[in-house]
Amino acid sequence: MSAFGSERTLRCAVASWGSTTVGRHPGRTPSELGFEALHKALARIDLPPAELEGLFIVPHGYARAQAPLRPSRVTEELGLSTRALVEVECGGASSLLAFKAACQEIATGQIEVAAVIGAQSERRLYEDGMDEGDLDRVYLLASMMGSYVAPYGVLTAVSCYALSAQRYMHEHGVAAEEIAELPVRLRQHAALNPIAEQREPLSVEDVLASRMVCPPVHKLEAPPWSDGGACVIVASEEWARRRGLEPVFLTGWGEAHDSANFVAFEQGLTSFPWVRRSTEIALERAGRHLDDLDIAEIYGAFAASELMTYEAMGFFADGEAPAAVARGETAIGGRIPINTSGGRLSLGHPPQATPLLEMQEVCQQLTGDAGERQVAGAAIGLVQAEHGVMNGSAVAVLEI
Amino acid sequence: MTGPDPALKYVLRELGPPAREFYRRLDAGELATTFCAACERFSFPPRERCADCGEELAWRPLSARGSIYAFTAQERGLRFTAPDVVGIAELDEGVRVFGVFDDRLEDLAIGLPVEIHLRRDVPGMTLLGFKVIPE
Repeated sequence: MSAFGSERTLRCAVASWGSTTVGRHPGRTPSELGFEALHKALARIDLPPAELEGLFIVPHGYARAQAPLRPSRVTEELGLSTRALVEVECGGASSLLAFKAACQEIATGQIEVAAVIGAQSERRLYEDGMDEGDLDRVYLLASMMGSYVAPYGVLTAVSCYALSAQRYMHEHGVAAEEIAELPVRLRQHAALNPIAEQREPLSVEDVLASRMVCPPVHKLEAPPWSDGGACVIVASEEWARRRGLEPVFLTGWGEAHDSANFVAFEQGLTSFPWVRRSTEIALERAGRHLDDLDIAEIYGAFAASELMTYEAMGFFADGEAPAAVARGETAIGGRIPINTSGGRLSLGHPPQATPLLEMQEVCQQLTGDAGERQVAGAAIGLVQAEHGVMNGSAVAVLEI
Repeated sequence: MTGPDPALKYVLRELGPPAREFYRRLDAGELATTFCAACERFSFPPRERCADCGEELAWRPLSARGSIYAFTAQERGLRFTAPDVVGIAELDEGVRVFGVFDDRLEDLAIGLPVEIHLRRDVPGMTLLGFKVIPE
């Protein structure tokens, strides 16, 4: 098999990666953060920007208004001429789907090397308040929840994740303390990650004592709305070999999207067969099984949804992820280390960059460049991203 | 307030035909959604055609009774305040709908019976209100 299930495609490589720190970057534009990530990725393999043949970007945020035709403005700022240029949008999965678009151009021989960039910088809008134009943008943003949820003034996806978390706890008898264990474990990973936003030690008591943002979701079970940028350089295997690089290869791609938008009225709030499907497709194309994985980075925007994703992907039986996490199975050195970056809850979460930050973590692990977080001998990894409230899932299997 | 709530501007602008019909019926006092006679199944959200068999769907009224499926309270909502308790009710037909609760958060529990009524006090649209039925 091949990454896209067809033998008539070329093998794609992740040739390089780079990012900003995740957290606060007040006064810096999303493009500025994206370009910092790009130039780090280029410098890592000593590649001049002019050699890029394609540029794949995503919208520059959510609450921050954006004029059309941003791809052209970005190439002007970079002084870049390309043969492939596009902006990809599908919520939190955007930059992983932009990565896919770049890989498909390479797999079909259209181009040999491209950059994928995702960045956002709008924390200031939430922390310092908004002007009239910003507020209008928030009304527009909230309307994404559609005709049957948005009229109730649901401001963010947090409310929808909260409903899902409540059902999960109800259906599987999961206690608040068990959910709160996950942020504690992720913080232990983040403490070892120099780019992570939140690295101070955390206890279950801290999590449960944090503000109840949207019952049953506590503040420390929700991700910070971070600023940050990330970039990966993708290339054909031949191009990477020609330059003497030791890249990471994309060996399997899978995606599956449900019909629901935020609130899965018909499907229920705790069952995500399309998450399993996306995982199965990617692993099958890679010729791998879940047990073959050495490491996984999973989107998991909220504590309960992250646990549900572990289960939906098949790592643990339904309702059993909390106990597995508490036993250390997902820790560095555990059975399957998950979110060694610190995850969304502690690495920080700039959704437009998040999937590429996940990919950077997996690439660093697979190339033995993860410092104190290194999972010994990691050779096969997985990156997963979602959109909406786990309404769709994309999975990339990466190998050295 | 004169004119619709600015928070509804983009919601109202993008309502498709089934959503317009859903809210037109709510305005007229009827909670209804679409039903596929061939598949013998309700759909919510309402749709013009059945995604499974392609049949054109017909509207069918729903009961105004159900039970609490899930609920939460928004720290900062765009429309309702103090309380801003929203959630999902599962109607007797098995259809789940979104609404705003009359009750306080601490008085709610999954599975409690609720009656569904129309909230006409919010400018711009008629919405669904949920109230727990006392034992």
